[in-house]
Amino acid sequence: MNGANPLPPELHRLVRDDLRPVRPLASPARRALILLVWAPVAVALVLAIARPRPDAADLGWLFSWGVVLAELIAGAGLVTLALGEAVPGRSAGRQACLLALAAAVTLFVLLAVLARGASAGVPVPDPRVSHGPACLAMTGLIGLTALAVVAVLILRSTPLRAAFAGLLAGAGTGLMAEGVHHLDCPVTHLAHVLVWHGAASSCWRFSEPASGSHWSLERRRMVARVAARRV
Amino acid sequence: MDGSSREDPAQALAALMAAYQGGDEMAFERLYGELSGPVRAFLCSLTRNVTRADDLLQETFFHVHRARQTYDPARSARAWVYAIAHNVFLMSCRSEKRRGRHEELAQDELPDVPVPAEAESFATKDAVRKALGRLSVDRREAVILHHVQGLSFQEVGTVLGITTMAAKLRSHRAMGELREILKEGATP
Repeated sequence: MNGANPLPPELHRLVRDDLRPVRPLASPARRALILLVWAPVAVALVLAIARPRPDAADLGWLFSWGVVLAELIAGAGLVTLALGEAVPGRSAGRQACLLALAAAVTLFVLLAVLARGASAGVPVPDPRVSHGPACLAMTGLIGLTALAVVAVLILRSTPLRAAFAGLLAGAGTGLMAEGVHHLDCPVTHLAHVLVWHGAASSCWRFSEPASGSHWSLERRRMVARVAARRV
Repeated sequence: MDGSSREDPAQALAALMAAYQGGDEMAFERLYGELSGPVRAFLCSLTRNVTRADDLLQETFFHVHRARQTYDPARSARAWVYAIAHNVFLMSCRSEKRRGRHEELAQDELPDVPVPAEAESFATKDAVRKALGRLSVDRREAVILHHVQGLSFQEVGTVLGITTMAAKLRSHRAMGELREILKEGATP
């Protein structure tokens, strides 16, 4: 049972046809450093395009830039876990990852409550509706750019558990996008922040696992095609 | 492995992986020769079905090839390959569950999977093999990886995506459960 098995000819052929030298990937934490480039660019673009929020003085440094930094760091942490999850034998473990996801959601709610406490923000007629679609679009757009960068990093690892890696990556980039958008959105009402900002960051959280599942499915089909050649 | 039997097997495997990453076809063939047997035995222990284990073995090495750039030369090559085999097994379980297919063999058809040497001291190999099948997959994996395949607890943790301490605990509990099952079986 433990003896060597003959190398199947179809596997041998596949390896021979695609045997270009590869460079070992850097560690997940080092690869996540690319987000250090993305974050300042995203912040600069948002500040250049949108007006600075009118309640910045009420919020102070802690509840404006502090919130941005906290969400960027937490989001980058989740992305690092996602990149680890995509590499065999580098996963932090499902429990630790689920705990990190729960901590990220808690942080998002906590910061929303604290910011609301620091500033009443700009009053809007109906916080559940007003400004909502604009915030959804803006956070979604910011998140999409981060997600594109992270998706390339994850797919370079050829992940086996792509859906779970995608869930972590989507949650991380969603949180980072929410952090950057905090510089722009002047509404601090919890109904607005939790519903619209939460929905925007969650849409990436749940779209990534779906694309990850699709990736896994495609990969399995490819394996099946190789196996079929044996018959 | 290399003619030089004094070389540390872990270092030799790491060197083979590094050569394979560099595009050396012979290195892949030797890596397959070194690891296909133990990985197949591991997959047989998990699936308890030789045909399925053979399919998963091929799939494992297919993924080894596709993901070869993710191997870090400073880490255990064996744990990296077993981690891929573990993931391939989980993926196949998930897809079988989705399809509603369940391939379990009758107890008397079980393949000749290796069993922990400690357990063999208090029961026949056949009884241990059957008892192993009654353990949950999580516990069975921990026992097989450490007590049969000889991976360190750190490597077991790497393969299963858990901490070294959790791997130690899981393996210890699994051996305890295995003893209990064998004791029950021995009681007339």
